[in-house]
Amino acid sequence: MNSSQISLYPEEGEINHYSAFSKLLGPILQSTKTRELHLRFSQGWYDAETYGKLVNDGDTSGGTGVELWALIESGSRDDAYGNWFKLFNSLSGLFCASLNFIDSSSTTYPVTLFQPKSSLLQTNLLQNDTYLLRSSLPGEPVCTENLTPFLKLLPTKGKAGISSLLTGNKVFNSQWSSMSIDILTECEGEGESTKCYYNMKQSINLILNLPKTLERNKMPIPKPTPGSELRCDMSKHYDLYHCFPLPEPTEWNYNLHDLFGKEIEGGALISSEPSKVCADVNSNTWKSDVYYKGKQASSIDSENCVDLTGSHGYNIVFDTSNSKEIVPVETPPIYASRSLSGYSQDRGYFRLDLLNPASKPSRIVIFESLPWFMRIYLHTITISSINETTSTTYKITENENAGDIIDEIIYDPSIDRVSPSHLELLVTIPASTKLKISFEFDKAMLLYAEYPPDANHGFEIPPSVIALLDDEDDQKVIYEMRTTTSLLTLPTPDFSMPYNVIILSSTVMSLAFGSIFNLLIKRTVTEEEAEYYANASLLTVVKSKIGAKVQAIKSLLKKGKKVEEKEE
Amino acid sequence: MNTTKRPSPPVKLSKLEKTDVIWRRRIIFSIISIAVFIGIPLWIKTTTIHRAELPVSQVNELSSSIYSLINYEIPVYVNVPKPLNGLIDETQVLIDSEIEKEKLPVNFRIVLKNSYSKTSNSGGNDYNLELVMLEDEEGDAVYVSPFEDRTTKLFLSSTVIVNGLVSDFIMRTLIHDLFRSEIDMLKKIHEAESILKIPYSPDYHVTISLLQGGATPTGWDIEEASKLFVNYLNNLKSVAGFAFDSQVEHYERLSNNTDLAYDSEKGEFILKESDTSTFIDYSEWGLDQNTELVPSINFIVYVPDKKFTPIKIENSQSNSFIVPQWGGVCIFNTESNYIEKQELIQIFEIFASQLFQLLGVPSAPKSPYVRIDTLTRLQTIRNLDNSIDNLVSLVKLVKQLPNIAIPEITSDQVKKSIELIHSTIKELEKGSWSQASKLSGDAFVLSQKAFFQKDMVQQVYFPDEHKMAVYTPLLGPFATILVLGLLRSLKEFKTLEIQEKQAKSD
Repeated sequence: MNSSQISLYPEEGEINHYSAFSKLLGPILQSTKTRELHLRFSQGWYDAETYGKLVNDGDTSGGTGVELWALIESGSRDDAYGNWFKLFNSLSGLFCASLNFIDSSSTTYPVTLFQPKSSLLQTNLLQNDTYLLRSSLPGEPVCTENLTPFLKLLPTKGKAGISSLLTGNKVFNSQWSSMSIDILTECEGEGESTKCYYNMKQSINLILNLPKTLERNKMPIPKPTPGSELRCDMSKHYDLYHCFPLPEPTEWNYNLHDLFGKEIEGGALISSEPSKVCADVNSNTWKSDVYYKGKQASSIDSENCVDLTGSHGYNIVFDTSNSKEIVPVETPPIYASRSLSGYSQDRGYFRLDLLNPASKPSRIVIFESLPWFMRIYLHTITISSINETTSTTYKITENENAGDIIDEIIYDPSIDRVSPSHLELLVTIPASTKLKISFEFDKAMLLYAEYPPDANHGFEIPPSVIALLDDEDDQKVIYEMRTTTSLLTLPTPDFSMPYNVIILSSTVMSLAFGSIFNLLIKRTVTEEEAEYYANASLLTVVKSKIGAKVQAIKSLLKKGKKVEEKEE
Repeated sequence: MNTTKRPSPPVKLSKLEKTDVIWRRRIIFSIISIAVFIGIPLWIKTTTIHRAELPVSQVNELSSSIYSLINYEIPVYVNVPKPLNGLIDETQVLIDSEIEKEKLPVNFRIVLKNSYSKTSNSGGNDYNLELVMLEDEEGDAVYVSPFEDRTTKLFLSSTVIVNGLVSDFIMRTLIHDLFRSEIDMLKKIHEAESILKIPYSPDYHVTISLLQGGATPTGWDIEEASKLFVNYLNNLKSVAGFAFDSQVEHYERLSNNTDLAYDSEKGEFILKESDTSTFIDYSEWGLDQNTELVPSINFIVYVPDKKFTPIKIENSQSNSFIVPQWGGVCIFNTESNYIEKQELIQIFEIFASQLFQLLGVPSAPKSPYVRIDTLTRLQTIRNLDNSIDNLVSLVKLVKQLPNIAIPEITSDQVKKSIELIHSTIKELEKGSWSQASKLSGDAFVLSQKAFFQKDMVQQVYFPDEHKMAVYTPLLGPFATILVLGLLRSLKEFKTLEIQEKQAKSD
């Protein structure tokens, strides 16, 4: 569907008519002069070795947690930050995410990555400079409450088309999921007649573990398999107590309803093009049939795709005799993993492992936005390059380009509590080589109030973003991926400490004061006198009187006993 | 039996030296005075909560006298030739005495003026009264112009003129017709407002949504039709500011709770009046998600799914209903895929009258301009009343919670709000209604900001137990030592006195 025209600089009292584009987002974007907005919600771990290449070359997947970047038009950087502040606070309410926890200490201004793509930039309509701002919240748990507003932005509201499959409990039971929203400002036409409109792309990528999902359908609460249903290897010894399990069965039959708990509720008939569903299966061993209104409608065509043109339930049934034969997984053009090491409370080591499986050198950009309490030492960058035959280690202090590996370093050092360290490394990895990039950092102490609840859990460090550049065009990103988040443990105080300190030091102070005070005001006398006063004091008199009484009673008792003995 | 032996006093007990005692006393008193004169003030200074001074007496004074301070008069221009000024004076006396009878809480007057003496700069917002002589014997009539000129025409027959009832007629027209609802509303100013009415805000956001129950998209000629609606909203400027936008939403199916009865005779689905409250599916339709700060007024054009067409609302000519304090709904049954401009204008007319009700515009007189004026003035008075209420509550709250901090900004806001209240009263006296309305709105917003100042809340919850836990280990031992030292010194002083007496008697 086409969205209505928008004006870049709305005048006072100008009317907006929203048709396809959501009225929820429009006013936010206009009032903050946001020309481009990208939002990612992801959760889970993407295992590149098993899952292969990311969908859309990683263009629609984000790092764990929430990621937001936007192109904001503004007269100055401070103004841009003001609009950015307004933007993430509004979005926070809209998407039920803690985006309002973004602040300047997590906001970076990317230089080589996240570049805008709007066609607006090709026109001369902009009156001011544009600023690219990015932030991420790696600790944000993505859940159903983020999916609901995501679906509400669609013209079909998740009630028709493919989006009708999505329900929170199924989507977030996946191994990995990533939702993305990209809004660009596109302009058409020349000169005076240029018309601009927002272009929004929403996508959702999921990795489902099929046996697990189907198992959960059968047994929502996991229970041990009853003995009668155990599949034992008959060629080995088995009895009531022994059972060598057989490998997973290779025959599978399941449908969309099994995977998502729903059918596709008809095509999105309001759109100008019909919804399309594609099944990318190995057609030799797999069969996929489309069911419409509960009846078999058609097999999926040779291109494995089907257009949804009806207004009722669609279901797709997958059937295979050998689930081992699948469409080969495409290997990603680059592998990366990141870790933090070091065990002390005050220092740590950062390590990034990269692998270029290709037989030609690759140029990549590594983007890091590290929180200010991780004080990195750039001069300690060490790069080890390992291939089948050789292994070399370079130190950046000895060799500025580290043997032609580092092409460029863009570094914006952190300011405590104000901005994060922002590091972009342009690196060339030689063919089929493993690269280890590491540096040292110091862990800063936080102020008492800066620790979040459950401070011993550690602090999530946003994922690094690694982008593979085109060989010819440095500006063009052909593949983008993110590592996982890392957990940084900072020295954590005992939070009851301030009270203990106050109480202890107060006691010490009052003790000191007491003794000095007594020294000052006590009268000095000779020893004899002191003894006399001590004996003459009320306490001694009372003591001696009580002692006398006790003695008297004792002697009385003794007398009584003697009398008794006598009587006997 | 052993008895404890008292030790015999040493040969000679040393006597208390007077100078020693005095020194010790000086030490004790100097330490105590350090604690009292330096320690305690320091302690108080570092631990007291900042409480900016609020103009409490001003607020209380305003709250008791606000109605007597409000004092406005509405000029009405009558086209009487100058020699007949006596007629004006005569009518004025009549009007004054009639208003007197109403016992209004504020000083409200209608002042008749001769339109020939009208100064040119008073603009087009004045009330005009045109006297028209009728040739006819019968047919006295009143005609209220529905246009912006706010003119009322009085058609006078010769009988009226002959019997000298002209002034009576003018008085009746003004008080019983033109300003009747204003007088009634003024009388009821202390009562709660109508439940339909949206809470006042100086700005509103009006959204017209086209909701479609079916899967086939329906278009509408909103671009053209909305211009008229925006013009209409501009006329309400004196009451509040209105921003406007529209949206189209698809797949807004009726919820399962909606009870539609099928009338097979007429082939219609009937929505009972009592079921209109469940017609809107707030959770699914996503209408309440307002990302702006100003309150929104929602108007919905609902185009039902073809399966449920047509839906008729029971007892509703216009097939529409109002949702109190929220907006209005109009069900539009159509077979076509496009809503034409003419059809839309009809729908918008329904919305326009719904908006009047939602804003609390009185239903009389006929001229919408006069009604809006009436609302503007009444809203101004209400705003003043509400702002003062807010300020009074704030003062009360501050009094009740001695722990609460009052930041400077709250105090400033209160002062500014009071200033605005005074300037509103001045504007009302001058007769510039829309300016007064604007100022009173600002006063209201400021008073609310002052009351809901977030810095005030945080400090209330600073618990006393924590203070105790921190202070006792330090202050407890200190105080004990000091008090005991003081007692000892007093005792010593007494012994010294006895000693001296003995010495004298010896």
